[in-house]
Amino acid sequence: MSLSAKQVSLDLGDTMIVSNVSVVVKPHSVTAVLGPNGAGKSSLLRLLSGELQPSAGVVCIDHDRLDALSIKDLARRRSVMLQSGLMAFDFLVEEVLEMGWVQGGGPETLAGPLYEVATKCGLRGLIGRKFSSLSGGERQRVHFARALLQVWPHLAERTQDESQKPPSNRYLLLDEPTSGLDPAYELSILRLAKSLGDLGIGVLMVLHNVNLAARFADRVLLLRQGEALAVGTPERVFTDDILSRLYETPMLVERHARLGRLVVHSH
Amino acid sequence: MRPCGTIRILLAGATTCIALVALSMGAVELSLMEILWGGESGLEGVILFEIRAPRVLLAGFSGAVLAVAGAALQGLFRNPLAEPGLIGVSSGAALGAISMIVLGPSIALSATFATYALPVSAMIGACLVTIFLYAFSVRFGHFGMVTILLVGIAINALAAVGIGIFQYVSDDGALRSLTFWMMGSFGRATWDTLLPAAALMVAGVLPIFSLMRGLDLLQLGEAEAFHLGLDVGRLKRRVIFCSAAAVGASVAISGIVGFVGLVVPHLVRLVLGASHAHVLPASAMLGASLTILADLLARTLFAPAEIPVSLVTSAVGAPFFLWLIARGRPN
Repeated sequence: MSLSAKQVSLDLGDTMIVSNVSVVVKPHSVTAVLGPNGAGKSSLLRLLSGELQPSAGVVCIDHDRLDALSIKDLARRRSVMLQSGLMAFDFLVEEVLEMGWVQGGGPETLAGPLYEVATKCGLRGLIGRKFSSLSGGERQRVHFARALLQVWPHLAERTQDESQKPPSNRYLLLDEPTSGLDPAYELSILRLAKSLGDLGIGVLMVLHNVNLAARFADRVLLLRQGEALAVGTPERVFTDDILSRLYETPMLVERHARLGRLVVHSH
Repeated sequence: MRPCGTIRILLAGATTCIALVALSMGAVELSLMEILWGGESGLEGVILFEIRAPRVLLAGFSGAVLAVAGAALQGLFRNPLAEPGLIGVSSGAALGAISMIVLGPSIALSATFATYALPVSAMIGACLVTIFLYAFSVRFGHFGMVTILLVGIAINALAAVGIGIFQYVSDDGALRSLTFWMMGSFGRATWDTLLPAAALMVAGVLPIFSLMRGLDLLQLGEAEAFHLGLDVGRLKRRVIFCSAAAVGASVAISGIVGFVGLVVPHLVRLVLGASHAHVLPASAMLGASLTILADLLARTLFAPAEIPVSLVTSAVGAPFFLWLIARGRPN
């Protein structure tokens, strides 16, 4: 059970954007994708989401090939948060969140999950506001909450016993979810993402901040020029040598005694 | 939450009232009560049932259709300025209709087919323009406010060339109807012309109401809408085809009625917000009532003479349009 890409390549004209990359996103875990600008991180995410078709290799979600699933089925099993811009029309925050509800059913079925997700993301006070009146950080959190609502487990699903649960797991793909956010917002979004493991959701996120990846990711994939440079736990993969090669700039990794985790510097 | 239910009831009431007033007012004042309950079937009855009723219905249908098509196109282009007239869809329809008026007699169609040939060729014209606009926006990136207007100017200019050529080769009779297409009027409404046109308008507009959630999702962006389970390509094809069909059918019988598709959805959004589940139904009702009102003004201001209805809608719509631009971000 996983969302996995097996030796996928993406070939746009004469340039290889992604070449021969494999990655596995397991439920209950957080995978981070890191790499310099233009390394193909976002393209890999778009391959995993089904938005782009790989020119070689295959992407599967719980043993089903993505290209064999309908757009609707896909939407019930994975959600995606991209770096979104403004909207041309003035929606309420509540209406933007509702767009994330793909499980069907009337407003009664939606009300509970919407409330839970809004609470979890600290958006309760903003629900009646106009989306355009929010700050950049607030907008980002709304989009995050919308993507979360899309894979939010049904209330019914959670109360049912294990044998009757629907077979499919859910996955959340985040493309730089914290870009442009201050450290406090950044932390709150990543803590949320981390906590989704408890709900059985598998998370993959493209990140720029190596320290945050070391802190929140169970596994990391390092991409350089479209190729996988290293895959594994942060402990194993984050070394001076590998990170220096990744960013082509000297990097220093040390274990911070007081924090008890890896800390990465460039020097 | 927005007071949606109340506003819908108010709008429905207002539309009915305006329609009743429009039925009774005109070059000849009618008393609806006397005709309906007094059993009077003389000249006044003929005026009411044969002239005024189809005309008011046509104005209502056209207004509703233009407003809904405007709202849908604005959703599709993610741009509040995408109005059928401004971006050239109406011109395309007019060009299609005019080419049928001028060339039709020489193709010698059977009578039944000829009734539909005009609206169908208008629809084809509208469809071609919309497809071109969309292809252009895909090829050259997402349309900004200004780009879409510039492209609209170009398309309108091109359509004007086509129309000019037809004017040059047409005889006096055809020339009169050409002028009519460009100015808009509901004066041609009879039951015989109204029914096929209304059927086509309804057939074009009704499917749009099933696309409301899709249009909402599209506002997040095409990739985001896809991730939320929307078949974006299919939605686009449907919106393009349906709105072009509806606008084409409307233009075929009443010519170009400007600015309804711009002003109405915008007013609705100001009050009810942007969700298409609110915008589309309310636009239909407000579009119908404002257009009936505009037609009423067009035929009563200088009665018994009539002015083209587009003069009235443009006199209101053009300053509104300027105000939108002056506000900077028209939203």
